[in-house]
Amino acid sequence: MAWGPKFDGQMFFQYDPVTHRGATERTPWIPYPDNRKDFFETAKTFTNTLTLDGGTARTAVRFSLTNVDNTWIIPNTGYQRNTVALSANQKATDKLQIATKINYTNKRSDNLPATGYNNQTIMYWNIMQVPNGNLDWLREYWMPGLEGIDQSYPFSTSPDNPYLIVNEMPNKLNRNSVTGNIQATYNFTKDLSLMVRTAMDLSYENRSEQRPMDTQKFTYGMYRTMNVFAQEVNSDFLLKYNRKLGEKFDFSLSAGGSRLQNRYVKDELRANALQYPQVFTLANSRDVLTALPYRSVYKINSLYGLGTIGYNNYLFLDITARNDWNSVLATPTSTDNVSFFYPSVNLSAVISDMFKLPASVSFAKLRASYAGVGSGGTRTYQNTYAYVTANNYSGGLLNPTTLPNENLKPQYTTSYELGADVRLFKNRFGLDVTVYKGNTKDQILTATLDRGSGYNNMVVNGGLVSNRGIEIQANGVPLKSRKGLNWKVFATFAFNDNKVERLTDSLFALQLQNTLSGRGSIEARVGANMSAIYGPGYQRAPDGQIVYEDGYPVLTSEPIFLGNSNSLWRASIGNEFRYRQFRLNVLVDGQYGGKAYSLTHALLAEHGKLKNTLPGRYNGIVGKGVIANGDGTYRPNDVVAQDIWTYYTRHYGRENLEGGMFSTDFIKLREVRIDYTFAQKLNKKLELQKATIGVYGRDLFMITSWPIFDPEFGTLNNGTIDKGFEIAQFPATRTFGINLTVGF
Amino acid sequence: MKKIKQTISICLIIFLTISCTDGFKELSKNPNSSEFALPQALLAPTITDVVSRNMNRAAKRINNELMQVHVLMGDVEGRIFRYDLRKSEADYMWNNWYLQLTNFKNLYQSAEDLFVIDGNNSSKTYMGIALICQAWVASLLTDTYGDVPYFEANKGREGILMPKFDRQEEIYADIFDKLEQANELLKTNANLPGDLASSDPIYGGVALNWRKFGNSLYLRLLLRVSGKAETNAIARIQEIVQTSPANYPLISNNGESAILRWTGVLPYQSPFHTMRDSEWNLLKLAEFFVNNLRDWGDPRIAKWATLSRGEYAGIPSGYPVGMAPDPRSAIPLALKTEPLLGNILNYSELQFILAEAAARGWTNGNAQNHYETGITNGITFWGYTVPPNYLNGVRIKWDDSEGLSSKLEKIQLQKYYALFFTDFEQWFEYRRTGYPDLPKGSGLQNNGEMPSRINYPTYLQSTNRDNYTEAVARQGADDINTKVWWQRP
Repeated sequence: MAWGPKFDGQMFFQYDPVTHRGATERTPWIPYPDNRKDFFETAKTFTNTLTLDGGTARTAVRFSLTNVDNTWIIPNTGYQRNTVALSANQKATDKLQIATKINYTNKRSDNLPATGYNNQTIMYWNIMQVPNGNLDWLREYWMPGLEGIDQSYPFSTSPDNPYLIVNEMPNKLNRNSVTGNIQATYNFTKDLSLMVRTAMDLSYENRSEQRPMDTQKFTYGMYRTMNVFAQEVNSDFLLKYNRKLGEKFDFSLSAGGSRLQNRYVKDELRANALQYPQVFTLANSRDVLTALPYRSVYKINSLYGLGTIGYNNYLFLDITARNDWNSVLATPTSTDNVSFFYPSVNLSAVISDMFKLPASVSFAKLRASYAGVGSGGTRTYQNTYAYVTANNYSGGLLNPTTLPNENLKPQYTTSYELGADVRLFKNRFGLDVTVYKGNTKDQILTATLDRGSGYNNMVVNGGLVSNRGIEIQANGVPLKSRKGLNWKVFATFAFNDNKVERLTDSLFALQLQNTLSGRGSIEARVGANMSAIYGPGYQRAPDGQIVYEDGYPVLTSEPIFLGNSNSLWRASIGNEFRYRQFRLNVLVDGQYGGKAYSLTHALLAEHGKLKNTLPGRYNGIVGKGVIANGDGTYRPNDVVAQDIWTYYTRHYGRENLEGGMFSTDFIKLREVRIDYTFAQKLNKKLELQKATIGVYGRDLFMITSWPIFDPEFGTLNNGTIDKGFEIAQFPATRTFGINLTVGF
Repeated sequence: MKKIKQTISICLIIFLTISCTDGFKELSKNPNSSEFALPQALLAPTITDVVSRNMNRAAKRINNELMQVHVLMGDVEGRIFRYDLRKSEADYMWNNWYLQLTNFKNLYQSAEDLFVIDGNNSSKTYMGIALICQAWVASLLTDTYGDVPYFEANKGREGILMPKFDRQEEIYADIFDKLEQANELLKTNANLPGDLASSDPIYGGVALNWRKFGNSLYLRLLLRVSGKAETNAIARIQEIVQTSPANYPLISNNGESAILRWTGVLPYQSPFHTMRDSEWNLLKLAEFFVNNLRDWGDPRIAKWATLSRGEYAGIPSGYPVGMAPDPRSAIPLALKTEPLLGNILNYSELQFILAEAAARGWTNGNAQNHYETGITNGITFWGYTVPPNYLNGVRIKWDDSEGLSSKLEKIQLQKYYALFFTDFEQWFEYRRTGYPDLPKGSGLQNNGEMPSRINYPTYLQSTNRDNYTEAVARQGADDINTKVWWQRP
C-alpha cells in the first residue's frame, strides 16, 4: 500500500535484513524507485543453424541443425531447443518421385515463468511491491537457519518472495517431438498423376511443478508431474488430371481424400503436501497421490475434389467441393451430425490480358468468389453427458459443470469475396484489394449460464455472426537503381466489422467470458460486436457527466457496455532501402478501435502506487462531475472528498470496470534491420559462396495510451488465449540482435 | 485410356472401402468419465465440497466479520467488518451451492432409480439423505439471497437454462415437504451396508442419525419462518416437539450432531489446513466474541483464542479507516485442522431452538432446562467440563421472571457460540431476532445497518435477465438492505 505520508527523510523502525525481523533501530525511510525494474534481467537468445544442401540429378537432400539457447527477463528462466531436420527428394524412376521430410525437436527448460493473477507469480508480486521496499532485502528468501521451512517476506503475507518463486518453484519441461511426412507421386501419363502421403506429428512431453514449504498456497509444499503424449497422423491422396481442350481451354481435375487421427494422452500425478522439506519426488508425498488421467481421440475423414477451367490463360474458373466427417460430432448413439459438405467457386480474370489497357497498367486481375467452410472443431467430448471423477474420493463422481450439447452441429461459414490485383508502371506499383462479407452460423462456443440451471456453462451452436471488411495490400518501388539507392514500400490495411446477427433460443446475451470474480464479462448480444466487454461503470447524468455523491463517484449497479476488445482495423507500413551491399528495413504497424481492461492498473491504483492517484493526497480533491438534486436536475460537484483512498478506489479500483478500461490502439516501430551482404570479391577471398551480416531491433518504440504494459496481450485460460482483460501481464520487451549467415 | 479407366476404378474401390464414419460412435465415448453415477459415488464429494466452502467463504470470510467473531485487519479489499459488502461477493456462494444441488438432486434420482430396480431399502436411506441435503442447501440459498430459483432450478439438462425465481414462502413450503418426506423415507431405518457406509462422512450410513438431523433441521427452519403466520410454523413445531415426538426423532446428544469431522486424511482435510500460519494469524478476534468468553470463564476460550500479552483480549470491530487498534488475541493455529469446524447442526443449537420455542410458550417444555442443556453440551462438545457455578454467571443465569426479550437475548447469546463456524447461521439468527446485541463501531458503512441479504450475482443480469428483473421487481431493490420475506415484519 502507498497511501501514507510523503517520503520526507523520516526515520522509522523498518526491516532488518540481517535478522529478517523488525529492526530495533530507526533507519531512513526512503523510496527505492527501481525496486521493480531491478528484479528483471536482460534476456539473451542465441540461435545457431547449420544447413547442408546437396544432390544429384535425381536426388536432392537437405539437412539442418538448429540450436537455440535462451535466458529470459525473469531470473532463472529460459529454455533450450535443438532441432534436426532432414528432407530428401528422389526421382526413383521416370514416373515415380519420392520425397520425405523429417524433423526432430527437443525443447527443454529448467524453469518456465508462470503467469496470472495469483500469489505465486512474479507479476502478482510486482503489483504488491511497496515503494519503501529495498529489493535487496528479498534476496535471502529463507528465514535464517530455517532453509526450506520458513519463508522470509517482510511486507505482507499475500505474495511469495519473488526470489523464492524463481529459484525454488521451477516449472520444468522436456519435450521431444517428431514431425515428418513421406510422399510418393506417380505420373501415370503426363496428364494423370497420383500423390500419396502420410504425415505424422508426434510429441512426448514431461513436465513438473514444485513448491517448497511455507508458500502462500502450499504450506506443506507440492510436487506434480505430467506426462503428455500427443500424436496426429494424417494420410491423404490426390489424383490429378490435366487436359487441354481445344486451343483455348485448359482443364484440370483433382480428387482426393484424407484420414486424420489425433490422440492425446495426459497423465498427471500430484502430491499436494510433502513429508520432508526440499525433497521433490512423488515418494515424498505426505498424503495419497492424486491421479488425473486424461485421454482424447478423434478422427476426421475427408473427401474432396477440385476443378479448374482456364480460358486463354486469362479467365479461370475454380470449383471445389469437400465433405468432412468429424468424430467429434458423433455421440455413442448417433452419427447424424458428423458429416458436412462445403463447396466453393472462384472466378478470376486477368483483365490486362483480356483487354487492351493503358500502358501504365502492367497487370490487372479481378476475382470474385463464394466459399463455404464447415468445421466441427477439435474439442472432444462436448456432446455427451458424463460424470467426472471426484479426485481423492474412492469411487467418487460428480456431475459435469459444463452442460454438453447432445445435438452439437458443425459450424459453417459462408463468405463472399471480391478482389482486385493491379500492378502499374511496369510493376513499380501494386495494389491488391479484397472486400469480403462472411456469415458464420452455429459457431461452437461455450456460454456462461445462471448456475441456477445447475451448470457453470454450456456448449452451444451460437446463432449467426457476420464479418465484413476490406483488406488492402499495396507495394511500390519509388526508387529503383542498379548502383544507387533502391527503395521499396509495402503497406497493408485490414478492417473488419463484426456483428452478432442472431442468437439461439431468444437469448438476451451469450456470455463468452466471465472473469474478475464476476465483475467483467464478454458477451455476444444481437446487433453488437461479438467481443463486447460489459461491467459496472460510472453513473452518468443525461449530458454524460459522472454523478458524484458525498464527493465520491457513483457506480452503476448493473453492467454497461464498455467497449469492444476486437480492434476495428490494423495497418502496417514497411520500407526497404537498398544501397549496394547494404539493406535497411523499417516496419511500423498499428491498430485502432479496440479497448480492454487492465487489472494491473486497477490494483496499483487501489494501492495508491500510481502517479494518477497523487492529486488530492494532502488537501482532498473535488471530482469533476455533477451531483443529483433529487428532482432530475444536476448541479456541479463541489464536495471535497477527504478520504483519498476511497476516492481513487471508487474511480480506478476493481469494482469500477469502466475506470480500468483503456484503448488498445497503438503504433509500434516493429522492426528496424540493417543487413550487409558481402560482395562477391570479398566472398572469393574468404572462400565463401555468400555471407550476410545483420543487426536488428524489434518492438523498439510504441505510442499507445495503454498504461501497463503492452496493448497486444493475451491471457492464458486453460488452453485458450483470451483477449479483453489484462491479468497481471509480463512487461513488454524490446529486442536487439545480430545475425550472421555464411554459405559454402 | 484403358490405364486411366483402371486407375479410376482402383480409386473408386479405395473410396468405397474407406467407410467414412466407422468407429465414430465408439470414439465419441468419453474415456475420462463415467456414464452412470450410483448414489454412493455422489454423496461424499458433494457434501464435503459444500461444508468446505461454507467454512471458508460463508463463515470465515463473511459471517465472522459481520458478526464480530474476528476482524481481518491485513487486507486492502472491501472490509466486510465495516459492512462494506461488495457486489462481487455474491457469485461464489450462489454458484457453488447450485452446482452442488445438481449433485444432491442426482443423488435422489439415482437412489430412486436403484430402488425401483432392486427394492433395497438402503436406496431409501440415500433418498432421505438427498432430500435433507437439498433442503439444507436450498435454505442456505434463500436465506442468503431471498427469492431464488427453486422449482425450475438445476434443470439445465432438461433445457431450462434460465430458471424462474420463486417466492421465498413457496420455497420454504416445499423445503418443509422435503423434510417430511425424508422423515418418512428414513423410517425404514435401513443403515447403509458395510461397504457403502464409508460413502457417508457425516454419519457412516446410520439412517436414524440422518433422520434426527433432518428433523432438527426442520425445527431450525420452522423457527426461522415462525414470524410468518401463514406457514403454520408454530403448530408444526408443536407437532414435532410435543404432540408426536416419536414420529420426529431429534438429535439427542453431541455424538449425533451433524458435523463433517475433518480427519486430516485426504479427502477429509479442512480447507484451512494449507493456510500459512502468517495468513491465519491475520484473523484477529473481536472484542465482542472474546470478552464474553473471558468474563464468563468459559473454558472454550482456550481453543478459540490465543493469549495476547498474557491475557485474552479482542479488538473493537467496525473501527474507521486509518484508526486500526493494536491487534490482540488471534485464532489458534490448531483450529486450522480442527474437526469440529465442519459443523452443520449440533445438539447445542437444537437445545437453544427448543428453549426459544418453550420460552415463547409454543411448547410446554422447560425453557431453562433446554437453555442450560444447550450451554452444558456446547462446552462438553469441545472437550471441556462446565466450570462450577458457570450457569449462574452474569448474563448467563436464567431468570424465569424476565420478559421474553430478555430470555431471548440470553438464548441467542449462547446460541451465537454454539454456531461457531457454522456457515451463515449466526448472521441469519441476528437478522431474525436482532440478537446478540452487537456493538456498533463508528467506522461502519451502510448507515451502521447490518446487511439483510447479499445481492444477486451481477452476471445474472445477462444470463437470466428477464427472471432476474421479475424477481427484483417483486422482492425489492437488489441491494444488501432489502429484507427477505421472513425478515419483513
